[in-house]
Amino acid sequence: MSGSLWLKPPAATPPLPAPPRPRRRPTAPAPDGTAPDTPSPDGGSPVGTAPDPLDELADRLDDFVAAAVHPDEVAALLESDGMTDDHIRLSYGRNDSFALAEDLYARVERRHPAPAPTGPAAPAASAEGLAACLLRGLLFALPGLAHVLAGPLLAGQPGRYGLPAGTVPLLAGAVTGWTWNQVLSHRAHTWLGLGDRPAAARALLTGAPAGALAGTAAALAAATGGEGPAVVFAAGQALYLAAATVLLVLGRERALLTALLPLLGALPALRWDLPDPLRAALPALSLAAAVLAAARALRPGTARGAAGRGGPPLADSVPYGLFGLGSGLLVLHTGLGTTLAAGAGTVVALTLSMGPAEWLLHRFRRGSLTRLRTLTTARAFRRAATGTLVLCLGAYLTVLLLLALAAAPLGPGDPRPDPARLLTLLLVGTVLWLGLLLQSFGAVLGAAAVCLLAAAAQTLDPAAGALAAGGAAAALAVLSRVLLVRPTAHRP
Amino acid sequence: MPSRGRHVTMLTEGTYPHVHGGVSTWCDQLVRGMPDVTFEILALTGSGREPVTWELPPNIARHTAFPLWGHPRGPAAPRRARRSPRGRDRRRFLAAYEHVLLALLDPDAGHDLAPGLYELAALARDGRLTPALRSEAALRSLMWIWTMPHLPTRAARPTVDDALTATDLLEHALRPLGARIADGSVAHAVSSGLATLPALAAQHFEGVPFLLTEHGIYLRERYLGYRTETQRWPVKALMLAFYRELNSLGYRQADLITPCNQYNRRWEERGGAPADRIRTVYNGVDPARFPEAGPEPAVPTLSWCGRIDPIKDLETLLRAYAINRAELPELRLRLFGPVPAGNEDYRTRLEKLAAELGVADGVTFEGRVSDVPSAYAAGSVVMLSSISEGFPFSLIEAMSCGRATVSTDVGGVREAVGDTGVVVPPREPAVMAAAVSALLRDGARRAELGRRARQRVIDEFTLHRSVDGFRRIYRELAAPTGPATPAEPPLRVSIPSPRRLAARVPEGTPA
Repeated sequence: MSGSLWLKPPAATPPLPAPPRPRRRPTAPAPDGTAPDTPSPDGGSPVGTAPDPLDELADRLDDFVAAAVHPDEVAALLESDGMTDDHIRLSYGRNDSFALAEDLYARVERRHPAPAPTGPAAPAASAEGLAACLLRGLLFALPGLAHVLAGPLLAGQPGRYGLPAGTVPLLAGAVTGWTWNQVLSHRAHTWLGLGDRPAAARALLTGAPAGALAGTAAALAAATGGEGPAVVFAAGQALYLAAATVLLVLGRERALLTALLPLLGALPALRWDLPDPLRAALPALSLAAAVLAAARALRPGTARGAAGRGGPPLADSVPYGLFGLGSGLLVLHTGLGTTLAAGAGTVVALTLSMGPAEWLLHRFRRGSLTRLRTLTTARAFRRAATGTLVLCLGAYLTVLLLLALAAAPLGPGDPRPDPARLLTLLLVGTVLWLGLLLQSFGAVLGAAAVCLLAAAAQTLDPAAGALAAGGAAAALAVLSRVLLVRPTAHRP
Repeated sequence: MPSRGRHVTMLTEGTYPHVHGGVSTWCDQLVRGMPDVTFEILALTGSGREPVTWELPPNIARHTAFPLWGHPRGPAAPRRARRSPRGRDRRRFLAAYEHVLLALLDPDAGHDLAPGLYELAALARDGRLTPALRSEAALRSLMWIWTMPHLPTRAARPTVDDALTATDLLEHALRPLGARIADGSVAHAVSSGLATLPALAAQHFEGVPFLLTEHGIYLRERYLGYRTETQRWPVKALMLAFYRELNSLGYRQADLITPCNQYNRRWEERGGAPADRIRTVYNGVDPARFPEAGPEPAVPTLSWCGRIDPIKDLETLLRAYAINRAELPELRLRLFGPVPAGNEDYRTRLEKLAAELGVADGVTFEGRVSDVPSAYAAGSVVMLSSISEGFPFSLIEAMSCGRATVSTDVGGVREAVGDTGVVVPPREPAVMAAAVSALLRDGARRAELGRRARQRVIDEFTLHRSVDGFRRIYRELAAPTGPATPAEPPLRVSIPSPRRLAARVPEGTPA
């Protein structure tokens, strides 16, 4: 046999087809020599003409021949069944396997049986997927409690730009770390996608500590005198982001959740005052647990092995970082819009909504894959995909609205949210969800550009918040409509 | 300018130097047999991350693994570009692609695959074929063409997903078009199909001579292999049409086709290979490496040697053994050879079958052996039960060791064995058992067959003879036919006509 072709990712060798064997009459004498055994035509019928052996053969191979695409395919099957040309001449009166195959191919009508389905059943996976996505949303939101706990420790005189002291280094650290880790997790995920776990572990092992350092350095650079506690907190935050990236990429969501449990101690702090040592100890405990879990996930040896060839070029990962930067800045602006306290509710709603958002991304993908398999024209597919897109975006915005209404009482002051703020929130939500959608389909560059532009506009003129978000949402909506309803965007 | 026939680019698909097996053994023998010839290996692989499992001799100047599924790297890799062609280039691409699709899906209309394929090759060399094939326009072309009212694919109602799947498969299959072959060398594809793509392009653009060797019948294996795929009918129809038309193009274009047995000619001539350009070169063994095996084992034993693979149809061997065992209870069956990765299931199935037949205690899986001749020496009779073979090494090696053989009548087996062993129809355990039983009862006949088998190898199938045949062929193919300096576009017209070249080739005598 000559070299086997791998026109599919290499996998287990499937068994060769075994055509049905001719039924032998029980009285057939045992073959006694080395001559080819030629099955005699079935002479069993008592009256009438002897049946044509070709009919019998066509009958026996019916399923194979009906699904064949060319007479030669039938010839290949006949030969693999051990039928030699001598045998064919003797039993069927055709010259060779090709002639016999042509005869069979012409006799049997083509059928197009559906191939046996593969892969796990969808419904179970869907419910499981929802739970996993909700868990991830929770994991994004929980660390916010550390800010609630540590807030009073950092509070001092009013700082720059009308923000409390320490805010600037904290934000600088957070945005740097977030951006860095988006790049890192893209690289690690790509390695995992290539089936190279050691290379993914190696990327995390070098990238995560470097990200922690970068976040700390950014915070340090942005700090002014008297913001020492904030820098310490920012360093912890950078370390946490690095550890969380490792755990999320390697699928250790449970470990991360366990590590974050001490932060639940912050819930009483929303109403009552806690002693300062406790306020410092709880986040520190969570941080230590997360770092330990990440270190365990990357324990020596996981990164070893002859790995690391044929990986992603660095330039492929950078846009993911840029999108992270843009979307991070947008979220921060929504939070900082008026006062820090009033913004907390919206930020909480946005982070919690990331869980349902992720699930809806999967939903959109699954929905369009089903459409691909059932529809036969590109036009019908475009229409169906647009419908799914609108439905999923609507569902996400509904969830976000409900979360925002539920989270509003968290902040002090008027529990009734301001309609203008809600509108901005929904626009930012649209930008985020469509951006994530485009990113998940590989159109990350466009999403990153739009997000960055909107964030830059808001930074230059905070009053333009709603306008910038609206413009970005419209741009991304157009981009999604153009790019994602094309069948080629949905390559499996 | 290298001296003639001294530079060869060997094109492999899924074999040498990454995988063990008959074709790889043959490649290794050929390369080691010609230390004076410089080889480059262009190996088509799956992911490009497969390890090299053969030790590469020093006359291999370069080795490029060209993955169908990963990023191509190394000297033969094409440039990478991301943009799909635009404007006029795009229209040209689509016209060429639609030509190719029509040649595949509507073969009776007389569309020729070649011109379209060469256009695509030019794009592939610029690294632009992949983005072009992944474009929306390419997808639309396929959806339009395969739903044409007169084509059989229409009846199968191809979906958008089918079009995507087929385009992707085609895109991966066509990637080797971008691989480059060094100027001044002979392109030697050691199988039909994808390995011929770089050779076809190099022959067309640079006038590189193209030699095609076939061991198994590539197309037949594709047909058989596709039966277990999970793709829908239109995808299967398109992909198998691609393999069929590519196969035929390779047969028509190759300057010389060297099957390893006469039997392969049937498929080659059916595929359009001109009879005067087919020259059989049999595989060979070194009789000194596989010397006379000496006395038979004390316990009567059937020995088998090869990869544990479904194509070897070891079920039939086990069933035949069970029949023989009933009359000769001390008879043993020893299976020598590795279980390739992915075939573990098959081995388990065999063990289960042996247990069901009640002969598990007589069957041993010996695994890979370093001393291969001892595997043949371990048998009173050496067996071969395959349902498909080219010109099996295990058979001529056993013959060289002077053992009587019982083998199935597939591929070149009958040509190899001649009258020095017993040949039985495949998939017939009872007939195989009867042959074994007759041989086991007749020691004198076994000895006589073994003696004649070794003599047959020495006379016809030595390694020396096989390697020499190829050395001569390389020299003939590299001989200049007119203005020999390979150069720029004008070569399109100055490509040596294959027919003219073939006239220089002496009539096809079995080497």
